[in-house]
Amino acid sequence: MRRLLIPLLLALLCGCAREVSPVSALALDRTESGYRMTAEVVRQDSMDDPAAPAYLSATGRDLPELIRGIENLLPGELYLSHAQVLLISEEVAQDSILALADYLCRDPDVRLSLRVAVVRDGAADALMRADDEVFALSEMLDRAADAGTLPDMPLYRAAEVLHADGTAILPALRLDEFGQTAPAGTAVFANARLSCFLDGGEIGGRAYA
Amino acid sequence: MDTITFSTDLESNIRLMQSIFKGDNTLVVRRAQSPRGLRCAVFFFDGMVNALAINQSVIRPIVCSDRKRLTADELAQTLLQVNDSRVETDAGKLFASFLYGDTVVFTEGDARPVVVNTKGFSMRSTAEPENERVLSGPREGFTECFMPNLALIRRRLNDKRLKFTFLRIGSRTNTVVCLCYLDGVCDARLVEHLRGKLESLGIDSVLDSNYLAERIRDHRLSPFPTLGTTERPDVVAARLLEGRCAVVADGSPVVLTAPFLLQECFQSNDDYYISFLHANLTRALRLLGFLCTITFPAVYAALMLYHRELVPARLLFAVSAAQRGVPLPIGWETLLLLFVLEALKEAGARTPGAVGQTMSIVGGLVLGQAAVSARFAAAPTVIVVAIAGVTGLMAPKLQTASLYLRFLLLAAGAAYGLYGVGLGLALVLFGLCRMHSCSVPYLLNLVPRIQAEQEDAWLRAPWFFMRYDRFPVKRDRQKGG
Repeated sequence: MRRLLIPLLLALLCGCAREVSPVSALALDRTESGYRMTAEVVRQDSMDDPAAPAYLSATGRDLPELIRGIENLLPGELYLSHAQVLLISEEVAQDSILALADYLCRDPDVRLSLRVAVVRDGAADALMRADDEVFALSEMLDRAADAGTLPDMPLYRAAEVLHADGTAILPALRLDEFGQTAPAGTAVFANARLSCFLDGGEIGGRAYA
Repeated sequence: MDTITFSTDLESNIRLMQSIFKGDNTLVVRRAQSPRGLRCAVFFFDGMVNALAINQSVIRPIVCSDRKRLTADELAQTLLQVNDSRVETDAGKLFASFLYGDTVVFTEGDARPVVVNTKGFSMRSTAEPENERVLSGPREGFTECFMPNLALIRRRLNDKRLKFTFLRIGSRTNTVVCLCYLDGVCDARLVEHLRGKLESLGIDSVLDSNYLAERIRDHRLSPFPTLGTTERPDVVAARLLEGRCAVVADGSPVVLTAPFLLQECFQSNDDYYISFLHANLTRALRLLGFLCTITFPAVYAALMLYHRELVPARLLFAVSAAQRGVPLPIGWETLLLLFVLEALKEAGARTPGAVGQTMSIVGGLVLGQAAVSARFAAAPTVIVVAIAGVTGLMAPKLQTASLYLRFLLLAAGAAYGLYGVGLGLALVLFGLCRMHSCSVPYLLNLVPRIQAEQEDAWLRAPWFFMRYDRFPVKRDRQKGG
């Protein structure tokens, strides 16, 4: 019995204390030398305080390098499992997003229900920083998808249709004249690249696709 | 003692009895003589007899007798005015009866003693047992007195097939143990199985029925009970009607019943005295409570250590915030808090009355609050442990199993995550499937089927639907039957 007890107690040590930094949203912009990724990290110091976003940015040439760069800025582990939204700028979308979608689909931490949206007329991180409430963006995208004003296109579905024939539609967002995030129609992809934007009236029933 | 030989001389018999019980000041020797010259000696132990019965039924007839000499047979049959007296020639039986409160009478000229039933020790009332209270239903409970306990059972089962078979166990305590069963309802093999086990016990003392329970039960190292215990005569009667066998030990208010199945752990006495709708709801709650108490700390530790992606985001943020600054990993933290909970429970149980209750409540509140304030433990962990503690009280018969499984599953969850918890639960289920109680499978009737035997398994069917002859422990349900 004693021989059994010691390994059991030691086994409890396996789950060591790891502080995690959960990410609620990511934004990807193009820079001259590569990309800039901004992560909205949730900070909550005590149970009485509300969860508040903090923004960390890193530059790099590809997604693994960007994620490593952000991880280096954090005291804890970058935790992508609760990330709900990935915003990509128009410049990023004009390149092929197939590799990006594949990488995210294969990452064991990232949820396949992650919503990907294209930011029109501006930087993705600027749009993400406009909201100071955690999950406000994802809730807005969910509501818009339910209402049919934006396409309901989570990551797994986007990756699927991009692989099929390279044609897909993604929701588009922009900062309006009041500095607030607003739906901006649909981004149409052909050959996995951004082809054009369709405004609300033009998409008709296709938002349900 | 078996070699003791009495003589026809009264004085030498008195000296012999005094020498046997030398140093025992409770032995009373009363010499009684009638005016016509009949001489007798009356032996009894002070405090164990009914003094009034001895005065009126033994001593008065002797001193008032008009006979000069009587044989032991005449004394027992014609003179003593008691309901139960006999001439005893077996020294072993004589001393067993004498030590148990009977009175021994010797008469001049006869070497054979007369044993008179004058037992009369004090007993507490048949109050409702503290551990088995019911909201409605009978309020009687067993006491430490043997015969009144049997009478409580017989009063409920006025059936000529009800059998009480006596055995004496314990070379020193010589305790009377009774095997109760309903002949024709209970499987004869079960009775023989239990009798064989009891008779083969080579022990010197039986001070409580648990002395027997741990020896005769199947799977003696398992934390799951394989022998039922109750202090209520109505429960014993119900189990006898179901074809079970009961073991009553003298000096213990706890009666053992066998076989005992897992489903009984989730049954309560109240289930049968209240509406079946309410009874089934509470029974389901007890089952849920048991699952909750064994898995809640383990699942919490596993989720927070390995599977954070399964935790809703806002809950994860709150728990992570509470966990910030706590020095121990969640596994150790939960383990220590569970240990504190058990320590508080034990201290509360061992401390008398209101002090114990106060200590448990104050200790729990103060310690919990202080531990959270001092960042010794996180508030969510305290809540999880408290829920595990409270739900652990819902199935009291499984408290030992809950205690062990809670710790073992926590270790599995902290080491291997939900896979560990799943594996642990699978092993527990595997172990339960292999268990049996008196040759009856431990999980009998718990496999989902729609059959008559399941009328009182997971849920209780209404009384108008239930029939006693369909109850579960029938001989054709037993292994090899």
